[in-house]
Amino acid sequence: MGDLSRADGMRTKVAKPLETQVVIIGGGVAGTNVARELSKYKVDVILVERDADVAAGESKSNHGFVYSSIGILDAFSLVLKSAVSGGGAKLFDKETMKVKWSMEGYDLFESLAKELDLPYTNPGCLIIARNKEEVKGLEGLVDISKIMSEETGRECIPRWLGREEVLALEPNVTPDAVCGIYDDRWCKLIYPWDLSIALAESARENGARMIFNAEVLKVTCQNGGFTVETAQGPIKTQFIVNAAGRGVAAVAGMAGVCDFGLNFNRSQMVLMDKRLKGTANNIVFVPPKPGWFGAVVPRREGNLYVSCGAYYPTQRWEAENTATRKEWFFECITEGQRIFPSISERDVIASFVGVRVFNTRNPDDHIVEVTKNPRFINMAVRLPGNAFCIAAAKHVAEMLGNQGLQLSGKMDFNSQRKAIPRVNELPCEERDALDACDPRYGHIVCRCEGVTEGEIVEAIRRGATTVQGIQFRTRAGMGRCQRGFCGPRVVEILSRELDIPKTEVSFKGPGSEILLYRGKELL
Amino acid sequence: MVDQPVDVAVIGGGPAGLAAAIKAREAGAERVTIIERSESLGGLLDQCIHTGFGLFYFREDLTGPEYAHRFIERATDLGVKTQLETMVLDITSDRKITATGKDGMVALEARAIVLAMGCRERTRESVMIPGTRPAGILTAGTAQRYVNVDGFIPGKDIVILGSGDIGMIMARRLAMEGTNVKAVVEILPYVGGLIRNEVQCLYDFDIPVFLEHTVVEVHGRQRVEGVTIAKLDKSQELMPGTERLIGCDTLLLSVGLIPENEVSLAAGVKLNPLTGGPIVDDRRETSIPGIFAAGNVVHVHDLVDNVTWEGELAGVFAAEYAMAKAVPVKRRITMEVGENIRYVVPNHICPEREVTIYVRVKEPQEKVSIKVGDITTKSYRAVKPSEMIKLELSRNELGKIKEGVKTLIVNCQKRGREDDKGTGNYLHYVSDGLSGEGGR
Repeated sequence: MGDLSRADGMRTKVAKPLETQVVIIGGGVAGTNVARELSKYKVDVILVERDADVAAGESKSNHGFVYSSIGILDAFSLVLKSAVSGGGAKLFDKETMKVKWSMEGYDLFESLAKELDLPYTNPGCLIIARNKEEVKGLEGLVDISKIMSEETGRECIPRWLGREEVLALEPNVTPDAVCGIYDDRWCKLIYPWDLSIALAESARENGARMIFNAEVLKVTCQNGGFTVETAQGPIKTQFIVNAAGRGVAAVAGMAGVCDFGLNFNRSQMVLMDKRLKGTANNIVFVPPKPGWFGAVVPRREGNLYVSCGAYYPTQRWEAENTATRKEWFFECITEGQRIFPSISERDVIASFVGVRVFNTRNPDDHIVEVTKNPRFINMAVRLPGNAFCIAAAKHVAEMLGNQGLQLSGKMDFNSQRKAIPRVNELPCEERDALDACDPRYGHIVCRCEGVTEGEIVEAIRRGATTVQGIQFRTRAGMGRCQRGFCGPRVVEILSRELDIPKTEVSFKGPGSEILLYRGKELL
Repeated sequence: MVDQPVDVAVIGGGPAGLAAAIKAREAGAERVTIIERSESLGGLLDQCIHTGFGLFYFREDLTGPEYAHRFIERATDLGVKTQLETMVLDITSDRKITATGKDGMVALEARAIVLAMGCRERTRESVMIPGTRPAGILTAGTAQRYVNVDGFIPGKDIVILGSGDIGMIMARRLAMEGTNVKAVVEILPYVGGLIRNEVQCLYDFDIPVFLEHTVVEVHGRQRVEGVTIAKLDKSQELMPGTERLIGCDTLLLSVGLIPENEVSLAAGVKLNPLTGGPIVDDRRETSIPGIFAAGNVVHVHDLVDNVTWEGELAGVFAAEYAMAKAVPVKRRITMEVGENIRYVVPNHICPEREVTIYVRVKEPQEKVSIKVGDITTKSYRAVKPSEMIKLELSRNELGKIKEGVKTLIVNCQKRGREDDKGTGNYLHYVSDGLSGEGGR
């Protein structure tokens, strides 16, 4: 793979208008999937992203479930999200784009994960009941699963577990558990940002260009195409794929093709220390109520994600507000303790808020369609999007083809991408071998997660330009000291490798520089 | 992988590790190796460019680097081996060490080990500060490294949460760099850390202090734009109407330190929940024979001088153990915490050896006596959690331990009754025992 870190005018204003065939707006899971899909063809593509990196919005702050739209997790999600649609609609509708394309994407996921060397796990899903009311909740979920099974012809009815079986599966779960339902077939678990990062790397490897810190300011329609004015300069293009996440309606509005609004809601999640490794073996839930949920998700490295509490409706002007709140924090911990009593606020190492986006036209479904301007495609993707977007990207390519974009396959498309080695997880001999090639793989920079200088340098070579970019690609800074130790060292490596002064190294893009002044500058 | 047998392996090359290595060599251990994960020896002392180090050990007022230098030189002279930029990944209970460094994986077998990994700073999440997650929130120690080692200033308008020693020292340091330190915010009704730091760092630099306040929200999307602080009542509940917004671009946290014991746990060393460090005896031997521990990895000290002394103790006994000269322990007395005592180190003593015990109180108190079982009572005008109390137990006092006694309880009790009303006007103490190594 070539040196990508300085490519694409990421830090310099684009002087002349760039010209391309397709501009993809948004570097989340939708946009990066489309970029990668189009990079299979002889099509010139530029992805523009408002932030400094891919997966900057919802695509980084979701649970990382890759779900198929059937099974207990989906039944769970339907009950939970019925709060958004008002519960009026039919709970499970196999004719929706959501169901059809999620299943399609789920079927494609394993081979995609192989191509992209994307780590994923397949913990089972266990939903427990702690009282009669919750048992009823479980029954409801099983009923939905039965409908799903019948309508789709895919067997997804969970297994009932008695108390003893629940405790055998999850020895640390609350003693209040009376029974549970279990399935391990229809959901996989990834780190959400891993997917966007891997897709973006693969797309760029195959010729797609990406421009970051390039908020779209204006879209002008001309005969046969558009000019997209971005914070990094104008781009002339024949087609636009609008996958701008929280900004999707605003961008569509700029081109006069917006016929939907957006609704938002938020919830808070906490990340627990990997000291708790082994506390949970499965993704463990309690039955949801409309707009209320409780989940504990075990991660490969041993950390737990605890997200319990309400779905908080969020006003439009607060769509960018991801501030955490103390009461949400305690809601998370208290409800988490009611699932695993050993969960304690002492083990929290980070907490953050995710914002979910629903379109107002049909909150139960996604919008992926050619608009009244046939060269402009809207992708208003809601949760769950990780599996859905794999299929959606293929359909978007088809739509573009139908609208006249020439899609001829590239002979030299390289479907394979290798992940950055996780030195910490390698056996001794392999570590030694890597170290012999490049001693930087022996030098640990992040001591909490055991991340080496070699991994960090490689992340920068692949396009990380910020401290957070390195964190998501390598886990450096994701551990219990939260960059206390590795922060200054990562800043130093970024400054050295990108050849920029330390005062320009940022946490997550322009405006988030970490060191504002040189010593003595203020005297 | 290279196999190298050593007598004493010291994990960590800060003040505790250096002292242990030096004393182990002086006590006769031949092959002594320090394994250090950073680029140089000295630990965090190299970023502590202020003075105040060595007042007790050398009876001189040194800077951190000067203090470290003396030990680094001595260790070098004695032929202590060092492996820099090498991080220990695992230790087994039979003292096999796996580490990784620029020269590849390192496997070491040691006759004795001294754990001297120090401590880390508590973070934003450990004190639950709600709000956005912008750049500009740093722990005080990290900021200290940026300023003193790298030569960069994090921001111009600074708010510091927590009045631990590192926070106060950084308040002064940043004020000297021309920044505007707008507030030091402390949740308790008194300033934490050492009195000398309160006077020399805050009062002398006219830095506003907000007691019984905390940061209730961080603002700013990309970079910190301000923090809201508010007053707390006695039960630490927010008092409505007391919120005030302070515009700032940087929030420093000085909210405590945690002994770093991931490697100790891997070896199976038992930890003391009261200190967060290994349970040790008077020789600083942990629950696993041949594995010793010293310095902030055992409990967070206020003064580097005490860290050095503790390191020396561990070094001497580690050397003895390595050379198979350790005197078998005939009798072990367990030290227990009593009234108003947060912790006692060591956890076990041996009545045959003179010992210094370190005691930290829970709450500040005036006119108290500290009693160690029924063998000794010492009087203090005032005690406070931020200042560790050292009690030397003489052979004579230890001789008073009766046959069959297995535990000694340490109590801190008020003397007399007459002075209950006044608390004086100059009482200083910290939120918890973890608030800081005064020397920093």
